[in-house]
Amino acid sequence: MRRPVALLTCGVLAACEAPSPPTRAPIYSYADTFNGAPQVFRWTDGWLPVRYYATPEGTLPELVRRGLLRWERQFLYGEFRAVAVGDSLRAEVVVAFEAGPPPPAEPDSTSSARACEGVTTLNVDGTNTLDPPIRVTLRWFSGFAPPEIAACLDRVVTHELGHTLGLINPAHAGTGATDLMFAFPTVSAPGPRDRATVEVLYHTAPTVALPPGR
Amino acid sequence: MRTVLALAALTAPPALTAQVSFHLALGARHTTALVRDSIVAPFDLRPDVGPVAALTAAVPLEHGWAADLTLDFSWSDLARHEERRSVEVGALRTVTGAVALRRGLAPGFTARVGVGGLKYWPEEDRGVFRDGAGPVIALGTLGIRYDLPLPRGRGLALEARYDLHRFITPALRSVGFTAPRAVHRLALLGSVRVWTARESAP
Repeated sequence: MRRPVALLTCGVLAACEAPSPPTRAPIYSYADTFNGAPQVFRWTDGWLPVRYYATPEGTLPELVRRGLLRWERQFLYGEFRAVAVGDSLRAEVVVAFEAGPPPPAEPDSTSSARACEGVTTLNVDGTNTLDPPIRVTLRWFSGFAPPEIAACLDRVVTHELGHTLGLINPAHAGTGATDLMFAFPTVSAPGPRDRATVEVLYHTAPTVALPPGR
Repeated sequence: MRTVLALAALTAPPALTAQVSFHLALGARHTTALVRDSIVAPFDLRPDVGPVAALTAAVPLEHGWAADLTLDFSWSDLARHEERRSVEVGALRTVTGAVALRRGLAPGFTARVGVGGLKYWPEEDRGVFRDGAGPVIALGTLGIRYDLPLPRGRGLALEARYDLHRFITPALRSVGFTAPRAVHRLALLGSVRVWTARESAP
């Protein structure tokens, strides 16, 4: 009889162990600087899910959908959620091509050519409050093969969406080639340092305010 | 050998008279944290107190023992609890099946001990459930029941049920959680006997 009691005690004690949080990758800089003060921007809980509008040009809506999914998967505790909307006037983020979509093609996943680029613009007013929408503008370069352009857009759209989450260091300081937020991304999905950085950002108080109401 | 005999007692057909009673229970359940983590500051993820409904089939055995089979369903909001605030992050349901043995302790009071399995059923495949909820999780359960001494009672009773299981999901493993966390649940229920089936052997 003693043996079952001992086994039960061991089982209960094992069940009561409190596992430690995992060790996370080192982070890079996520804030902008204005007048020497760090500017921390992120979406707060009252703004979730953040509404994204992608102009219906070529594969852009699908690229945005895929990119948002990649970012949402970095969060374990509901810190960020996004939804695609069909009306740009209801969106907090608008994504568009500067001059139309590229020729359709399957992405060449082996290519890391800089066949495209993107710019994300956040307007912040004099009271340090965001003036939505955030705008993402994408360009592609005709000197590259369509599969190279498609692969580049896959990387760059997700990279720019990272800026819309709040990874707004203008110099991409501290990032490396294995990070999606590297200035010239060669990967198409967030890596461990991207995840660790965006996790820290979403557990840090923002200094850029969001406008009241939604 | 004793274990084999006990199992045989549970599975063998009743000797002369089979009497199966069915009980419906409703109540509320408290659950401890599923995950504790620290990003900038410590926080935890845990279900709010939520409703629970249980259906139990009980069969009397010999020498004051009874066996029961319980299926219970509970649902609640899942929330991230930080130092100064809580944020709802979705809904979570659980389905639990358990087999247990009961025995009277004192007039009106019955104790219950059992084992079973639990399945988490999140509203959405997001966050810690982004890669699914994982397999059915083993649990151990204890309980105490008080039968209300009412005239013409319909088996009205109050019950407290405690159970313990270990929680981890594929998504938590993928970010470096290596060990599951012990999760304790306590439910307080009111139950009523809804049907009794009797069958006499020739």
